[in-house]
Amino acid sequence: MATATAGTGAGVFGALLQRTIGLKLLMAVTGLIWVGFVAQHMVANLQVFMPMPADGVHPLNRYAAALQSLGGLLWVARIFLLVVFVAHVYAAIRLTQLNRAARPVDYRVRTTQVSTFSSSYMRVSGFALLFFVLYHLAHFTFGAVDQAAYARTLPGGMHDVYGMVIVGFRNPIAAGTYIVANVFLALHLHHAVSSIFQTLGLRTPRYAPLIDKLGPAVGLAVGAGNIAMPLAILLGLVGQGVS
Amino acid sequence: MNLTLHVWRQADRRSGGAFATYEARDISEHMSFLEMLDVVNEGLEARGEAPIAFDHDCREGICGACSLQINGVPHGPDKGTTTCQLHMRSFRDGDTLVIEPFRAKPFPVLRDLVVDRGAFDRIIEAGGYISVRTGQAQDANSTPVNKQDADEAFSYAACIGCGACVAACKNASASLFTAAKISHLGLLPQGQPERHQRVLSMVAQMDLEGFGSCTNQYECEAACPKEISVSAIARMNRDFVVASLRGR
Ligand code: HEM
Ligand code: SF4
Ligand code: FES
Repeated sequence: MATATAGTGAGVFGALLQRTIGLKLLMAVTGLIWVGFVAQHMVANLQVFMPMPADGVHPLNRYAAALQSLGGLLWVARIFLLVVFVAHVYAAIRLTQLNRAARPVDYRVRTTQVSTFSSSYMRVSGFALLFFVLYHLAHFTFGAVDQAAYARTLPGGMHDVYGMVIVGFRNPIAAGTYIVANVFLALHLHHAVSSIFQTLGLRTPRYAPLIDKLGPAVGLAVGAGNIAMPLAILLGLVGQGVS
Repeated sequence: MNLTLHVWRQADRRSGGAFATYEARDISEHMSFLEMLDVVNEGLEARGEAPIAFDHDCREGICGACSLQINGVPHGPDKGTTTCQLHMRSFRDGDTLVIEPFRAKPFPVLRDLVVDRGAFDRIIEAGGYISVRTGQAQDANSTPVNKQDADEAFSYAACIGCGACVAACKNASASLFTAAKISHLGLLPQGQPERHQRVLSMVAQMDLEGFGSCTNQYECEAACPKEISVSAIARMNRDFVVASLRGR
């Protein structure tokens, strides 16, 4: 039973993953880490709406340069996020297998009474996010989608992230992909953020009404913020000065 | 009133099953759902056909024997009501009803609408009890329990083990049942000595039986005839984390 190997950290962790609740806890913790990252990622990128200062170095470029100057630390963070992501997807796949096996013969009629749309399509929104994350990395981190935009530099030799984003989102296909992906992100978070509290055992009756509104609120905020950027650039409202 | 029924018929555990269609004629709206099935069965027997098998015992909403997925909802459309307490006035003349057994791998169909819910008994056997001596009746009164805990424990103790929570869940998860049993004991002083071992053992058994995991959609709470709150599941998760970290 779960007690056999307890005592060491690895033992506790291994024992946890033997249980559906343990896998769900892994899902919640890894999901929470990603929610934190996604939220800060959005806030940082909203700098794209700031006007171009007199010196011609956009705040987004300063921010990107600051991140790059972290050097090794940046790679530690990237690998950490990757591992966390893989763990989340692993738990999702494993639980999906177990859940499918739990009802080999389905109902002819199954009527849901309280399920939300977002909670019924977590796998769909999740996998859409998986493909989007790969596309996003190829686009802006590795420059595989639009090499010319990716190679942009400022007169001082600084990587022109601002220009890359503006030029990138003038392409309707790229902007559209980001907009659609963020609808999935908003959907995923709509259920997920509230769900974290229940999984971690923190959804007490007193705070349940508030917690149940938190997921939809975070989903809407993150989705709207992320969609605003490609949309505004596509419509030519931002970055007119970039050629 | 007259109704059309699509009922799952299955001869035994190993046979395949199929839906059969019956007309339920001249049903009184004051009948319970099970009495309506009794009437249908009388007709079937008169024609020399095998009656529809379904589980029932107390017929007053306290034993947990009755079940049935009625138009996709366990125990039918009324909130906080078992099938035996569901009255035909909840339906309209001319309605078509699809009646299926509770579906889950750990609840194999034994015959028609009867499923084996022995998996629940094994979850209880794994730790849903206390081993301390509780003494005589007056000793219970000398063990102080604060009112809030007593009320919450009592609300979980109301679980009749019917399995509607499993039936309603898209993952066939037994979280609400297991959590109700764990939390009912875990809130009371008599349940403390075995509290950590209990959650580990009962959760292990729940997984071993092959129930799915909880997606936090709360269909179980909506379907539960005793309206057990999913707060029980949060409490179980919390106890599970603490017990796992402590190693027992
Ligand atoms: C390949 C990508 C992803 C997949 C396949 C995926 C899948 C899932 C699934 C299936 C659930 C469980 C819902 C349930 O219990 O039925 C879930 C929960 C969750 N996901 Fe994801 N997801 C992915 C990416 C993400 C990302 C990028 C984030 C964060 C921005 C995220 C955050 C969460 C959170 C917070 C939960 C809730 C955990 C809980 O139920 O307590 N997921 N995900
Ligand atoms: S929790 Fe409710 S639905 Fe589940 S077994 Fe107990 S009484 Fe039935
Ligand atoms: S027959 Fe006892 S609860 Fe319905």
